[in-house]
Amino acid sequence: MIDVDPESLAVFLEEADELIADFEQCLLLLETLPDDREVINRAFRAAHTIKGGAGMLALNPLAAFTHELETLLDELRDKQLLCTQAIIEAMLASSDIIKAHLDLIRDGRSEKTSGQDAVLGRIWKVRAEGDMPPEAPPAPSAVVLAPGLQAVCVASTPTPVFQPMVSVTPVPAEAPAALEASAPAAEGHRNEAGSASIRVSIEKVDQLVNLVGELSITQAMIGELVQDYSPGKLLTLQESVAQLERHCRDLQQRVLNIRMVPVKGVFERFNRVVRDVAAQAGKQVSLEIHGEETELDKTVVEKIADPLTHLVRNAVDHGLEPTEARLSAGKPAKGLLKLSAYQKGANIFIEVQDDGRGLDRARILQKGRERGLVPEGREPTDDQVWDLIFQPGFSTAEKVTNLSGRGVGMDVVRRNIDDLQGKVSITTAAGQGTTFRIQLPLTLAMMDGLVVRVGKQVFLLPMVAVISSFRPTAKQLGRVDSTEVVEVRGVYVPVVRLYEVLALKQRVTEPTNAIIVVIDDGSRTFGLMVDELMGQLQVVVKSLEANYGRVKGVAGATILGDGQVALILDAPSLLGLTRDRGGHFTAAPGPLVIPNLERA
Amino acid sequence: MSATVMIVDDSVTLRRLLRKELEGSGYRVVEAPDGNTALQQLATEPIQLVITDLNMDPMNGFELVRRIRETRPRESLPVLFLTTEAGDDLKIKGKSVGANGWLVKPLVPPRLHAALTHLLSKVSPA
Repeated sequence: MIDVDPESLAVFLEEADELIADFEQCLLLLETLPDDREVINRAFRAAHTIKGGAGMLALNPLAAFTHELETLLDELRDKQLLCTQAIIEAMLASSDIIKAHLDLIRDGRSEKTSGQDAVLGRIWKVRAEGDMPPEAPPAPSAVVLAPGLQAVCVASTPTPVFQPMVSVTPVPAEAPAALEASAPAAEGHRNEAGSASIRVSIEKVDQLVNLVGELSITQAMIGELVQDYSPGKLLTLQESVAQLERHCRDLQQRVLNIRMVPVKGVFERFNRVVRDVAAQAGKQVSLEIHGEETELDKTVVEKIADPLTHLVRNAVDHGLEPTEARLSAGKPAKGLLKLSAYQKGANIFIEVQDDGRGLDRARILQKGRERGLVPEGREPTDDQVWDLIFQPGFSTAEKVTNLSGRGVGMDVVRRNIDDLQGKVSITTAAGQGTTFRIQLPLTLAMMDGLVVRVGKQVFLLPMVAVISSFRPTAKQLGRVDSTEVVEVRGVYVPVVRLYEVLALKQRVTEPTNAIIVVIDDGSRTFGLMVDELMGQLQVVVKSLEANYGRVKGVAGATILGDGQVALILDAPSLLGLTRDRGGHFTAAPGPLVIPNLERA
Repeated sequence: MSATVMIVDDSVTLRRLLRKELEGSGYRVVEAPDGNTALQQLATEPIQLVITDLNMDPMNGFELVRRIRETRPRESLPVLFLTTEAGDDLKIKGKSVGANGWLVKPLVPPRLHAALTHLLSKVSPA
């Protein structure tokens, strides 16, 4: 068991990871540049710093081992020796031993590692050889491995420069428990640093190789058929093409699957976040984590961490009441924060749920009116009220704490989630708590789309948002106030005429000649009117933002089979666009400009 | 500013391969099929680094480096050997004639680039 301050230990482990990575980088360079002083110096400094840190923390076995490595590097440096292959290999093996030490320390153990002695033997051996003039034959190994020499070297093992910290400041009794919490946090950080690469199991790669094999066989078959084609072979050709499609789709899915990583890496850090925030706010909080094995696109996982951290901090700081308030409300003293992830259809949901006081509808609404976000005399729905907290600069916190309440944040959370093509919704009940539900696409790279046409333009609607489509009868159409509505299974939903929103030349203005596509984003439902449906496609999403900036209502673009460019519509936001145009509830945006792609 | 690297090798194939790799990374490349040509080009062209084969005729790699070092020290013009094998004895000999390092075939591009970046970062711009 390690008896040191867990914070210092976490810092040390993190630093050591970086140093050892740099050390290995040096070794690779030394293979090419065997006597480059600068590289040897860099390697020496890495070893020296690890030794120093280990000594400070009284991690004696690691300090002692690294000392030997440091001595070897020191000799290489001072005597200007050449890094022979044997030396490089001994140092690579040492690096493995140090890493094994670090892993042990993460487990709370500081002891000798297996294999350590063998590597020490190699270090002593190359050092002994280094003492010979370069032209001399290599020293016989028997001399080096003689027990006497080994004994001498063991005796030279240094004592740490500093005494263990325990003897200076007694460590509080709960230190070991705290260590457990800090170690995963350090690990999470490490994962983040290595974000440029993904570890993929051999099995997944083998499946891909297999599939690519299948693909080339099918391709060869088709190639042959086409080269020597006669109408009688049409059926065989069609079959082969169908097979090609199957393989392609399979390959797509498996390749995308490689990008999927569990949300565990992100969730783990919240143990620490919750603990720290709760301590600062003087609250008792227990964190429950569910569904951490749920997989999500790696980019999404990385980018969701920040908004999620914000929501978690807010929940602890604002959502949960102080202990006395909880007790007087008849709740357990300890607040409960639940973090969960699950998959539903093509979406991943992440929820941050607290059992605190719930959102204060009256206060939020009042604040909204004060800020002119809600016109006087207009009674917004609950969802519209909750939506206010995502407005820039909106905060109802009575006092600004160190943790939250400056009103920056929730709008950033919303924007971050928007960037991931996700949505965030709120359910809350006074006195019972609040749930923030983030809905995210499984992947950002591909999507299933419904191809629709308006006038000459072809658009894609994300399949996830589409509930159904139909041609309405006159009986199904109507008006409520000034809003055009259509009946969908006994319920009236607003109609959005796509040609109106996008200011397009339409062909069909009469709804009974058009198609209504029912869109549902989880909180709102409406009917989108288009000229006709053209089919369903799985497409690669291309970003428009590089060339056009962000266009409201447009999620991206893709290229259709015939080479035509089609815009992918951000279907749910289209409802917002019409509402904005009507000058109703939300502030009116600037004019909507759709890039002209017809010429492209 | 991109550095100029000279490739000295009697094999056209190797020169072409290495040129492609280096030019792909933004280096300017000068080729020499033998040691004498290499020395002539060094006298006339601004070259920052040399990669040379070991077994060449009439002047082998060791001899070439020895001649280069008569006028240009290690620090001002790094020289790397490119060979199929680099045993310790060859390394020691290379060091004694003044080579900076060894590239061992088959060429591993990341290793090549790491070494080049490192060496060129130390060469003071002439």
